[in-house]
Formats: sequence, C-alpha cells, structure tokens
Amino acid sequence: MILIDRGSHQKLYRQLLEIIKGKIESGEWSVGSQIPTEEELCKTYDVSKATVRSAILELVRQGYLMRQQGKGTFINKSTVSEGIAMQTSLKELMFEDEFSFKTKVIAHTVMMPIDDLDIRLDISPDKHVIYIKRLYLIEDEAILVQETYIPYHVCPLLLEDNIEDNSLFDIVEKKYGIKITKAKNYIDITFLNLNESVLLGLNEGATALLLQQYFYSGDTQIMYTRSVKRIDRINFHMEFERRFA
Amino acid sequence: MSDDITVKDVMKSIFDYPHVPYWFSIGQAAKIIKVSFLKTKKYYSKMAVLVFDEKYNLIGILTLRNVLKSLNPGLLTLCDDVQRDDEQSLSTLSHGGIAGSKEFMERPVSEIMAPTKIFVGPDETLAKAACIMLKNDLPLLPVMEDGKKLAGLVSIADVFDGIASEALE
Repeated sequence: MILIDRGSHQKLYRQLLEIIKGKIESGEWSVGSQIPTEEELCKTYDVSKATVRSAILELVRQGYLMRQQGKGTFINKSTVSEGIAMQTSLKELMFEDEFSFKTKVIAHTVMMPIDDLDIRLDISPDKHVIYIKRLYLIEDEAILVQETYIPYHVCPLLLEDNIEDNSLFDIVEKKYGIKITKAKNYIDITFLNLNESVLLGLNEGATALLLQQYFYSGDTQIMYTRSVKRIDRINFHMEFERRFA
Repeated sequence: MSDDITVKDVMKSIFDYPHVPYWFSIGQAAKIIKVSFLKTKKYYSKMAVLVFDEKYNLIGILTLRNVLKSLNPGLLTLCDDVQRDDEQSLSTLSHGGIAGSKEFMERPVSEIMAPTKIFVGPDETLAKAACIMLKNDLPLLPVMEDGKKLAGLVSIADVFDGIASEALE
C-alpha cells in the first residue's frame, strides 16, 4: 500500500489525492462503489480531516468522485476523459456574450471564506473575499443568478468599480491586467434555494442548471463563480477544437 | 498632550478585522472568529467581526460579548448567582445553553450585532474618541471620512496606546 511520505515537499492533501486517484484509475476501487469515510481515510493515512476533505473536494471537482448528501462519496461513473485537450472561448462559458443582457447587482461586499470556500479559492480561511452577486436579465426576464468570489488581495479596487452591466471578466482582464489563462468548468443540475427562486421568479426547489467555474492566472487561482440558470432558457453552444500535439 | 494626537494616527485598517454580510449565521461568524483570531493566537487585537450590508456599508459590530450574551439570556440574570458561587444554578444554565444553542447558531448575525450609530472623523482628537468610547461603552469605534467613507477603526487598545505613550513621554 502506498502511504503518505512526510519527508516529501508535496502537500499532504496532494499526496492523498494522488493515492486515491491511483486506486480509481487502476480499478482497485470500482466505478460506482463507495469510498471509505473521512474518518477511515484519516486513520488509514494518519492525516487530519481537513487534509482528507481537501483531497476529496478536489477529486469531486475533477470529476473522479461524486458526493451524495447523507450517503457518502462514490466513484463517479463517468470519469473525465483524458488525452483530448479541448479549447473553447472562455467567454462563451460565462454566458455573457450570447445575448444582450443586463445585470442587476444584488450584493457587492466583502466576506470571509465560510464552509469550503477557502478550499475552493485555495486561500487561508482568515483571508477576506470580495463577494458579488448579480442577476442577469434578458429582455427583462431574469435568467441567471451568479455569485462570484475573488480573494480581496487579488483585486482590492474591484470593490469600488461599477459592476452593473459590465463583464467582471473584462474588468479583471482589461482594467487590472490580470490575464485569465485557465478556467475549469463544472456543469451540474441543482435545485433552487429560496432566495434564488425569488430572484428567478420560480418555485423553491425547481430544477436549474448549475455552472461552477474556477479561474486561474498562471498557477494562481483568482476567482470562483457559481451560476444558477433557469432551464427553460438554456441555449447551450460550445465549440471544441482538438489540439494535435 | 493627548489632544494633539488624532484618530488617524492610531486607527487600524478595517482589514485587520474579519468581514461578514448581515445574512451570515451566528454559527458561521463563530467559526470565523475561531479561524481568524483564536487559531492564529491574535488575542492582542480586539476580537470583533464587522458586519456589512449588501452594498458594503458597515452596519454593525459583533463581539464575543454579543455572542455569549445572546447565547443564553439567562446568562445575564444569573450573573449575580455566579458571584455567590451558586454551583447549582450555574449547572442548569450550562445545560440550557447547550440545548438551545443549535437553533441560535442558525440565526443571522444582524439579530445580535451592536448596530454602528456613532462614528468619529479621522482628524478628530484621540481624547474625543476616548470620551465617545468610554461614555457609550464601545469596544471599537469606526472612523468615517466625510461622514460616509469608512477609513478605519480605533479600539480601546489603540486609544490607550496613543494616550499612554503621550503621557509617559
């Protein structure tokens, strides 16, 4: 059995992540099966709960694992396809270029990273985070609720900017010169919470599309966005271009 | 004299304190206090969380005192008994506190924060800031530029430091 190497420079959660990934890829842990609980993993690898949580969350992000509320964590049936590198216009996935939209700023304030936001943003839990919540409207119909989290130190002046009807993406790139070089996108189905349902004019618990995006500039993560879109207005268009080495 | 020192000489950045929007739960704020102060051993700074509205206006301050006071209203009425060393009433109190604390932790911070109503300007004297804080029993006093832009905060420790160093010179 591969164990954690405490002499290694690699972070503990990284090592644990690689170990679990190895078990999934080799088939030792079969598709659809439940993985050991956090407590069991802590014990087996002699690491803290935070380390286990970080490793699992990253594997959920990467599509290897899937969490089921109240049941546990399972090996995902559709693991990410490797080998084909795909490119798409980042903007298309922001939903911002498709139509002429208007945005209404619901919140533009500062918070601390609660729940697992520190892991999602890869920052320490005592760092301030700029929080932006906007409602997207197309022809006066509310179609998307978007929450954006940016570590305060990445872009402090963003707090003073007029963000209504402006693309955050453009502000960050053009005004502050932070080049976004990579985006990881995760598309899922979710159920509207009370606040989202009121904003979108739908019933609480209605099905919606969830898009979670992690933006990077080089190796530094600079933004995490959670968008909830009503499903009766979905018009998804993606173009993929295969890169040949 | 201390009258010469102004608020802006001793005030601290608002980013020395954790920020939360008013809809955060008391439990979330308690966790934030733990990671921001207790775990990092920053006991020397005034442990408080700043509460903002959705447009980033400061609307309140949450101290450990606010949380403890609201956790169990019995805590205040029983304070006299505690001094009499009444072990029995103390133990009923702690049971009551634990039983009711779960729902309490779900409530928004806006319910228990101390609303910020009093401010001081950056060019006011430290003596004036000290007067306001002592008179109103404020642990922290927000500093507002032109009456609207939050420029910093002064704590009792900052005021003490400024006044005492002047007096000791």
